[in-house]
Amino acid sequence: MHFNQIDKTSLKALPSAFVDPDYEISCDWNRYSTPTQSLNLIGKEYKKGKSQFKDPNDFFIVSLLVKKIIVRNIKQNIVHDPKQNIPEVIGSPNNRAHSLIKSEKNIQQGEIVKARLILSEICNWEIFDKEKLIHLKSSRK
Amino acid sequence: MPEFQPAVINFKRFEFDRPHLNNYYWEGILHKPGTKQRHTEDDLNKINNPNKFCKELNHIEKVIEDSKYILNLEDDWDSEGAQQIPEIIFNRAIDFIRKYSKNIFEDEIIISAPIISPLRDGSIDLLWQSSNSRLLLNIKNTSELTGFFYGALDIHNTKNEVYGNIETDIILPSFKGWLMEYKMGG
Repeated sequence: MHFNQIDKTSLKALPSAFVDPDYEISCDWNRYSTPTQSLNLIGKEYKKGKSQFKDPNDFFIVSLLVKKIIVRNIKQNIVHDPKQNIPEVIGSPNNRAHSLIKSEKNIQQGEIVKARLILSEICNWEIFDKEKLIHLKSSRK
Repeated sequence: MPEFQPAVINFKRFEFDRPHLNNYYWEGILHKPGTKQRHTEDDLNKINNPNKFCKELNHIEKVIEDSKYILNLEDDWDSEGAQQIPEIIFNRAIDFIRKYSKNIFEDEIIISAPIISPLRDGSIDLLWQSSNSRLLLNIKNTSELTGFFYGALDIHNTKNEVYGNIETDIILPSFKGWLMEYKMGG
């Protein structure tokens, strides 16, 4: 989660973090990864459409329990989608843990808003640093 | 002595603390009708500047001011291809907040300020929250004056919930009703 998607007052993830124009949110399955490994992997990814690596210092890691997503009936499905290229592609590292939170087909716009809000409510911090967040927000506005 | 109703007056035409206020003409303008109670400077500012945001809603104006960093976000502000937020969309969101806040204030309710946040598709989120209830509105990044919202009186038990779309340039009584749940101190 990018620091621009975290509320500086409540220090909570914002619903704005859980949006993707293709209605698919990338995440890592903790069966094959740890929060630290996920964060390290971010540094090996290119920024979208560029040949420039992302800065992992701009990101924090949250976790979501699949059970909680299912129970809330927010029309989201979780799909294991491992990334594997031989040889590995620079800027798009192999990731056995990669998964997707996908919206169901025909989901209405209002339901998408609901899903984003619920996801932001049920996620938990795995890697978070308040001082680092404050510094990022004040220095890069 | 005739009773004067406060009119829209040019505040700069006379001095507020003029000492010889024994002329009933001046008294009618500077005093609330039928009373010896003088208009405060706030009252006169409201009369003269009906569009100015009143001080009771300053907390909202502060949040709006703090959110202007959004206009400086460049493309790829999240390192994952996020779009710059168009100024017209940002202004649409701000106008929405001001319009509803002022309208609800006329019912003598002061609502809390929303959290204003950018999305990677160029839209804006407005999130009102109290201890348990939430109201999230997304101002779309389109030419249509449309927003999509979701509200729940209890976010942990979403039986009493509502979602849908609204036009962002008018006051919708049902949406106003939901917003009134978020009064200051509530």
